[in-house]
Amino acid sequence: MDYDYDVIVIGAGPGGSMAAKTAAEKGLDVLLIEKRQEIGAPVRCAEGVSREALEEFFEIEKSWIAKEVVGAIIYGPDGSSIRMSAKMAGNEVGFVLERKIFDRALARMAAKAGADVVVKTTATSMRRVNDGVEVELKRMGESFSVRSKIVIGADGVESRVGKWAGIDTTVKIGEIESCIQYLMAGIEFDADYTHFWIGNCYAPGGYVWLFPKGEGVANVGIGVLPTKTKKGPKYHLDSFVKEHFPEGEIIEVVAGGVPVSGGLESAVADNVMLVGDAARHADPMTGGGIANAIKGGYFAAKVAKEAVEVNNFSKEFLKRYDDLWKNDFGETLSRNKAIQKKILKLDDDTLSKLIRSVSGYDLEQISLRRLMIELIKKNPRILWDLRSLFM
Amino acid sequence: MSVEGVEGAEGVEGTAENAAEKREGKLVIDRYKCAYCGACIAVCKYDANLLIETFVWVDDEKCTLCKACLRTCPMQAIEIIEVAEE
Ligand SMILES: Cc1cc2nc3c(=O)[nH]c(=O)nc-3n(C[C@H](O)[C@H](O)[C@H](O)COP(=O)(O)OP(=O)(O)OC[C@H]3O[C@@H](n4cnc5c(N)ncnc54)[C@H](O)[C@@H]3O)c2cc1C
Ligand code: SF4
Ligand code: SF4
Repeated sequence: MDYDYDVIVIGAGPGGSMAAKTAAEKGLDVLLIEKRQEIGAPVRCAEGVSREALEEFFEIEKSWIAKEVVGAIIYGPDGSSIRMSAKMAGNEVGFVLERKIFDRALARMAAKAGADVVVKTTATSMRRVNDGVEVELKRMGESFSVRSKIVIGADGVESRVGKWAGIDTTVKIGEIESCIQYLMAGIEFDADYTHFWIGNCYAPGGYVWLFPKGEGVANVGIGVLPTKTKKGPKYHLDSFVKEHFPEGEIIEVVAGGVPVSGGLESAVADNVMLVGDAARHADPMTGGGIANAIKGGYFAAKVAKEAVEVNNFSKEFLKRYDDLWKNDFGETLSRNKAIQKKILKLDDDTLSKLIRSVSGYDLEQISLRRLMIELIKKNPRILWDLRSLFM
Repeated sequence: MSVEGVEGAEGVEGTAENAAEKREGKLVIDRYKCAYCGACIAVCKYDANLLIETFVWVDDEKCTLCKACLRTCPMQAIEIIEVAEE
């Protein structure tokens, strides 16, 4: 069979662009397709990411970063709070990105590395032909098909690629955070921190966040579980904003769904690998998915290169990709899924009690793991079943 | 504070009863509310909807009116309207 490309990457979010960039750098023939007319817009993200997650792969450019923060403050239902340093708080704390710029920069890197990039082009179906795949594309009224050895599905929350390949990617409604966010201006907050409010009183099954984008400007958003409230995220966010930031102006509205199922059992099929939100790789506890999308994109491209070298695109071979992500962030996904399940069962009084029990600690110095151990020790009756994850 | 009778992780919608009700309504998206975020697509297990750039397309033949998308939509943009018998 004649192939037009070694790899077709569907979707130019952080996961897809990273995959295309890496695959092209490794010498593969790559096509990156994006259905939107503008990469990176509209944004579906609160834009928080850690310094480490970016530094691992890129020379960070100033223009990507709207604001750098030193840590996170978490508020409980009764107003008690804990403060953590960015280093300790994990994957989503450190930088608040300007994703419209960041996503485009990544796509540009893919192009520079040699990938063909096309926008306003939608993949509409896919089928296996001999040892490869044929992807149907629609571009401004024109339909055509392109053949490749491998398809990397980086098509986000609305992913179709998995289903085309026979992977069930349907997310249960108890496992997707329904989110609304306002970019607010003219509000007062400590811009050196990202802020989180937890508890059913704020966000049933999720949390409220405030990620600073500058002095007086921030992404203020909420995620709720559809199984925990009938009112929808907008109602809950509006109540929060009315109480906390009545003076603010809303200058942008963002909506989105974050899968918090903790990852697919397997993200591969014959000729196909899924990365990022398409593989449901967002963190079930925080909802953050940028870091894992980038890593997943890198791993998938690495395996694509190996597959092309030995001319083997079978599911069996591509399982190497599953091994890579599982051995890397897969463990954290499962662990955080267990913590999330636990937190969902706690009522607001218990949550407040947990936060109060560690309020006095100097969390600038303590790791997340250490914090969990302290929490379990201080509240054994509530958290005993989590001990095997940390102790 | 969970919604009556619905347990977190088991929340998959779409039962045979829902499918039987199929002809009794039609799913519509309020385009003034929709923010084309794609959340509704992720939860549809019948492959009945698609996000075409800024437009959510629903395949009435496949849609079982299971309401999974309706309950997930952050903008509450999805409604089921009655359709007159033919
Ligand atoms: C409100 C909200 C707040 C969030 N906040 C954070 C945060 O603070 N930190 C964090 O780390 N994560 C956050 N996330 C999650 C984060 O946005 C995602 O995990 C991340 O964007 C996933 O990257 P991706 O490359 O997998 O997918 P996306 O960035 O979603 O990219 C997928 C791309 O594929 C394209 N596409 C889809 N289908 C097709 C097709 N058929 N043909 C062609 N192109 C197609 C889409 O148009 C899109 O551009 C948030 C999400 C939401 C909704
Ligand atoms: S979930 Fe709602 S807002 Fe998002 S695309 Fe679907 S209908 Fe539109
Ligand atoms: S109601 Fe929504 S989720 Fe259910 S089948 Fe129809 S489109 Fe799919």
